[in-house]
Amino acid sequence: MKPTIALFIADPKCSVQSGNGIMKALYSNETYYCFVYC
Amino acid sequence: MKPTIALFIADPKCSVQSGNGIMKALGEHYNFKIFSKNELEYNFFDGVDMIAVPGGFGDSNSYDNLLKHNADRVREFVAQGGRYLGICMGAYWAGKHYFNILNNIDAYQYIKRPNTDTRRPHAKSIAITWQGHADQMFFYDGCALIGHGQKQVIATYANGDPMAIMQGRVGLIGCHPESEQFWYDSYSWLKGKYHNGAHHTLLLNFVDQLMAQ
Repeated sequence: MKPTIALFIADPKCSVQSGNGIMKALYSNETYYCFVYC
Repeated sequence: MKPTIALFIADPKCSVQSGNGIMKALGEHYNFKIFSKNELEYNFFDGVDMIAVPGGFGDSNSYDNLLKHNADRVREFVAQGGRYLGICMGAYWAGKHYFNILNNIDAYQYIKRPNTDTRRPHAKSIAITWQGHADQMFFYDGCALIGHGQKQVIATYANGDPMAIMQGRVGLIGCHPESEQFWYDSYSWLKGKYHNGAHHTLLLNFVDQLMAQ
């Protein structure tokens, strides 16, 4: 079972740019989906 | 290399619940990046294969506020051959009053359609036929996709109206195949009706087919 990250997004304070960077970095480490809160 | 989907989130209109369901259904085969109502960087859609606009709660006219910065970018993406997946609110927004990316098809409230089997918009499990198979799917004031424009009908409502279609590289679904267990557990009348992930497979197949267009 791949690990799951709950990713907090509250653009622009916790921005989509930062969140997308986190997701992009971690997809290669087999994390396969994130939960996002806006 | 997995294809990349740019997922629009503007909770609650395009809700985190719907977005999370999409990611859960597709995440093993697709990468995601998120965008919101704020203005996008000039190169945001570089490397993106599909835009997904999920469903949620509220009036579709919130489009004017939520997409004022990015609607043209979405239209431009589709015009240049990008794919668009719209679920519920996202399907309404493909229509002529919003993104206007359909050809002679528009999205209409199913509850107001002739011979509909429901006149109330609240959450329910509704009868559909998906590629010939009778089923029940989570519904929350979803749309029927009506018009004479050329389209591939993937699923229909009980009255025969198209519920899920593809027109070129635009794929629209009026119900919620991305729904998760807790959606059903939130309503007493839906307990025990969860699809156990079967609808996530339908959504994955739908998106794979859309990718092949």
